[in-house]
Amino acid sequence: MSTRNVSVRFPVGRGRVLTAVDDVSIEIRRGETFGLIGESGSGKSTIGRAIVCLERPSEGTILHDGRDPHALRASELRRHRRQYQIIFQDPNAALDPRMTILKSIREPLDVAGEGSRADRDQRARDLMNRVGLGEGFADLYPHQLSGGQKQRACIARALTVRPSLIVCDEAVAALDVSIQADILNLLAELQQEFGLTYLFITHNIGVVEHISDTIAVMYLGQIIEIAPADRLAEHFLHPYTQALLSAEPVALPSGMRPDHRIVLEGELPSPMDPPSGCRFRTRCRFATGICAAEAPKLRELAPGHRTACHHAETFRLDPNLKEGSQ
Amino acid sequence: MASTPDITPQGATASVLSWLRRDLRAALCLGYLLALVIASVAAPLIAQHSPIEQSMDMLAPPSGAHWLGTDDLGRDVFARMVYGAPMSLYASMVAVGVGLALGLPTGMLAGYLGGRVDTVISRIIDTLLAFPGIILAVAVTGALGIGLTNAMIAVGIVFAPNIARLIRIQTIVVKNELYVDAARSFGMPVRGIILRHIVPNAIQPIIVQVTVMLAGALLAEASLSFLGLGVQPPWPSWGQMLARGYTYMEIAPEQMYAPGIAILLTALAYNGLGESLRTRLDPTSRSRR
Repeated sequence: MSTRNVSVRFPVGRGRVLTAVDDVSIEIRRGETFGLIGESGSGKSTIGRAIVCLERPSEGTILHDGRDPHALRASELRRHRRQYQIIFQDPNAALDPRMTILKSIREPLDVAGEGSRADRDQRARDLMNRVGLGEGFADLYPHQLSGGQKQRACIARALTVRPSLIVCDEAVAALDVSIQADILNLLAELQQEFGLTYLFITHNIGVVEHISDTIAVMYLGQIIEIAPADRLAEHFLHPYTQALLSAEPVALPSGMRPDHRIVLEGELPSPMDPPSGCRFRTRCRFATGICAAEAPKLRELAPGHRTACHHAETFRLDPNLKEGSQ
Repeated sequence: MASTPDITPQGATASVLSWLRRDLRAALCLGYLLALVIASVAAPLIAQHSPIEQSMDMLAPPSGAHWLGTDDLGRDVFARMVYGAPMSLYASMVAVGVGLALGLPTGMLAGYLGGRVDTVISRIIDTLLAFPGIILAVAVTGALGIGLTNAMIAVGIVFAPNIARLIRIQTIVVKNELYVDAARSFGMPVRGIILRHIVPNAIQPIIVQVTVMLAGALLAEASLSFLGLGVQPPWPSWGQMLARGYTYMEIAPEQMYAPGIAILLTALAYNGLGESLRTRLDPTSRSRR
C-alpha cells in the first residue's frame, strides 16, 4: 500500500481551498503497523480516509498493491475496497442506531452477497465471539452497549470482509484508558491471526510507540518525519517531533518528572493559508532565514529515517537547549 | 416486549398486534380510523336516509328520525356524514400521497447529491413555498380541472415542497454520519445506502409531518370544496358541510358540530397514530418498558 504525492483539498466556499493533505507519500508494507501521529487538524484522518477511498485525492495516486483504486470502474471499486477497512474514532456514530449489533456486523457480508443468510449470521456471530462480544449482544441496539463494546462491534464488522489493511482512525481515543489497552491488545492479536496491516492514526504518541513498526509524524498536511518506531523516540530529527514526544504525559509525581517539556507557542496555522517555506517555522525555536525562504524536503539521514528540517543535524546540539526526552 | 422487529409476514402481524396491545393510543387511533373505513364501505346500510334527498324540514335539530338533524336544504346530516367520510379519507390520502411521491425523492436527491442539483432543486422549492398555499392549490386545480381528485392532487403539490425541504436537510445530516462512511467503505452501492441507512434514519420527522398534513388536507379539502373546486354538490364531504354550516352559524350553530368534531377527531387520530408510529420505530425510545 502506498500513496504517491497525494494531496486532498476541500473547497470551503468563495473560491477558497483548504489543503488538508499536501503532497504526502508514504509506503506501508504488508503485515506492518504504521503509526501516523500529529495534532488535530494535521490531516492525518484525511490521509486515512483517502486510503480507504472515502476521500478522493485532488492530486497524486493511492496505490493498493500497485493498483490505483480510483482507476477502477465503480462496481469493481466496490468489490476492491472491501480489502481496505477503517475503524473510526467514535464507535457510537459508526453504528447505525436503528440496526441491531448482529445486523450491523453482518451488513458487509450482506453487501458482498456471500453464502446463505444462515452462513452470514454464523460468520458474524463467530466474529462477535472472537472480538469478545458474547452472543447476548447480537439483538441489542448500539445505544444499549458501552463504548468499548461498540468499538469491538466495529472491529468485528471490519473483519467480516477479510480485509488486508485496516485504518484505525483514533480507534481508541474515545475510550476509557483501561478499555484502550484491551482494544489495543485485541487489535494486536487479530493482526497475528488474520495477517492484517494497520495504519494507526492517533494524536497520542504513547499509543503508537509500542505497537508500531514505522511512525510518521504529520504537521499541517505534510509528513515531517518518518522513522522506524524504535528509532524515533531517541533519535528524532525534527523539532516538532521533539515537542510532541515531550508532551507525552509521564506517570510520575511532578517533582520527579524530567523537566524538559517543550510547550509550543501559538496555534496550528490555518491550512487555508500555510506559512511559506517550512510550515513549522512559525512555532519553531530554531527557525532561521532559510526556513521561511525554502520548504525543507524529506531527506534520508539514517536508514529508513527521513525528516524535513533544514536544521535536522544540528538543532539538538544547540547548547542553550536541554537534551530532548528519552 | 418484542426484541427485534421480525420481517417474516407472521412475525410482522404478531409484532403489530403486540404493539397495539401495549400502546393504547395507537390502538384507539387505529380503531377510530378503521371504524371510519367500515362506515364508508357500509354507508348504505348504516344511513337510513339518502344524503342528497331534500325536504322541507330544514335546519332541524337532532331527532329520532334525523339523528343529527337536517341541513339548510332539509337533507339528513347523519347520512351526509356517513357518505362524506370516504370522501374525506380519500381526499387526505391522495393529497399526502401526492405530496410524498413528489417531495420525498426530490428532497432526498437534492440532499444526497448536493452541489448543483441541490441548488437548482432548492430554488424551485423556495419558489413554490413563496406562493400562498391556497392560491397555488386553486391555480393547480384550475389547470387540472375541477373535481375532488384534482383538487387533492393540487393540495399534494402544495405539500410537496415542505416535505422535500424537510427530507433534504435530514438526508444531509444522515449522509455525513460515520455509519454511512462505513457502509461505503465495505462497498455498499448508493441505492443500498439510501434504502438501508438514509431512509430509516431520516424519515422520523416526515412521519410526524405526514400526520399533520393528513389533518391539514382535511381542512384544505374543506376550503377547496367551499370554493366549489372539490367535491361537487349535491354529494357531501365533511369540509363542504362545515363550510355550509358556517353560513348558518348565527341561527343554527349546531350545524357545524357534526362535521367539525368529525374532522377534529380524524385529525387527532392521524396525529396520535403518527406519534405512536414514530416512537415504535425509534429503537432508543423502545428500550423503556
